[in-house]
Amino acid sequence: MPKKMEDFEKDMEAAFQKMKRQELKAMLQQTERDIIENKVGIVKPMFRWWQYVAAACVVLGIGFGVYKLNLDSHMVLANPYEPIDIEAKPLEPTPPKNDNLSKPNQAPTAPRSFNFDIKEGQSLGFGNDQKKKLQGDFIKDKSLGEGIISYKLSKGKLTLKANQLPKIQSVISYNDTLYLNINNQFYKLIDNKYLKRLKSESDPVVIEALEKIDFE
Amino acid sequence: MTNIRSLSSTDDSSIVNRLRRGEDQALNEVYRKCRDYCIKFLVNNGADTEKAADLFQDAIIVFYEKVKNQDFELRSSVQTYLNSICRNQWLTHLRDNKEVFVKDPETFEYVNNLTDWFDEYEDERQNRIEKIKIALQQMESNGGNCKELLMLFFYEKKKMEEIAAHFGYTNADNAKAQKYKCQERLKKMVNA
Repeated sequence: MPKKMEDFEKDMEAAFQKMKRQELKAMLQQTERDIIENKVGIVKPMFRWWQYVAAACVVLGIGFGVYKLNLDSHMVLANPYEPIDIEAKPLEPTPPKNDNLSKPNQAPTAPRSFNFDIKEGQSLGFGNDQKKKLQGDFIKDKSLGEGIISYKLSKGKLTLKANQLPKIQSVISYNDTLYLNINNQFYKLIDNKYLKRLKSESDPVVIEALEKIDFE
Repeated sequence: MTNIRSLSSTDDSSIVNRLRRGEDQALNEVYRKCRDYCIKFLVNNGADTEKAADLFQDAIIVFYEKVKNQDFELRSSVQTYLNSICRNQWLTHLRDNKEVFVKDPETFEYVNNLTDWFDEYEDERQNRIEKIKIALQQMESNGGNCKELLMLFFYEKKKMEEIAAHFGYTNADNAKAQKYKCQERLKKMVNA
C-alpha cells in the first residue's frame, strides 16, 4: 500500500474515532445533565432521620414533664357529692401512743404541698385521677399507725403525708377546724398533729358543719 | 454514606455484549451505575465536580473503545475497570498541568523547540482529520451508504464478510470493491 494511502487511511480512522467520540461525549453529557436535573428536583431532607426521632423524643419528654408538673401542682376543687371509686375499709381509729411522733431514727420525710386554699364552709374532694396520683407520691409513714393521717396547716396551705390519703373523700374546713371525711367517717384535727375520729351523731361541731354545707 | 451501585458480573458481560452489538445506549446504564463512585474518587483527589464529570465521561469512552476491540477481555468488574481508567486519567491530567522548570537554558530551548514541532505536526494532522470529518458528514447528507460502510470497516473493524452480510452484498469481494469506491470518493472530496 502506498505510504500516502496508508496515511490517509490512518487519518480516516482517526476522523471516525473523533466523530464517534464526539457523538458519545454528547450523549454522556446529556446523561450527566439528566442526572443533575433529577438530583436537583429531589428535595433533600434538612436533617437525618435519627435527628427527627431525637427531636420528637425531646418534644415528647418536655410534653410529659409539663403534664406531670401540671398534675402535681393542680388540685381541682372537686364536688364532694361526686362518687369516688375507692375501696376504703372503715378506719379504725388508732390513738397516738405518744405526742411525739417523730422518732429519733425516723428518716426525714419530704412533705408535699398542695395549694388547697380551703375556705370557710368549703369542702375539698379528691377525684379519681388525683387518687391514683397521690398514692404514688405520698410517703408511707408506718410510724404514724395504720389509717392515721398527719397534716400541717398554715395560711390556707395543707400539707399531708400519709399512706391512707386516697381514702380521704373530702376535706371540710369549718370554724378554723379541718375535718376529713374518710370513708364517710369524720376526723377532726387535733393539736395540729393528729386526726381524731368523730362520732358524727354525737359531735355537734361536725353535725353543724354537715348541715351548713348540706352534706349527707 | 455514598450510594455505590456496582454492576454484577452478569450485568458486566451483558453490557459488553450489548456494546459489541452496537447498542450504544448500554453505555448510559454504565454511566449511571458507575458514576457516583468514580466522581467521588476524583473529587476527593482534588478535581471539581465539573472536571470530574468530564474525566469520567472520557473514561467511559475509553471503556467503550476497549470493549469494541474483539480481543479485549474484561477481567474485572466494569466498576473496577472504570475506577482504574479514572485514576489514570486524573494522574495524566495532573502531569499535563504540572509546570516543568528546566534549569539548563539549552535543555529548556531544546524542549521548547521539540514541543513546538510536535504541536505543529499535531496541528497539521488535526487539520487533515477535520477535513475528512467534514467530508464524511457531507457524504452522509448526500445519501448512500458510503459513510456507514467506511465506518464499519475503519472504526468498527468489521470483516468484509460481515460488511457484505450487513449490506446484502453477494460476497466479500463486492463489499471490498464498494469500500474502495467509497474511499476514493472521500479522498476526492477531501482534496477538492
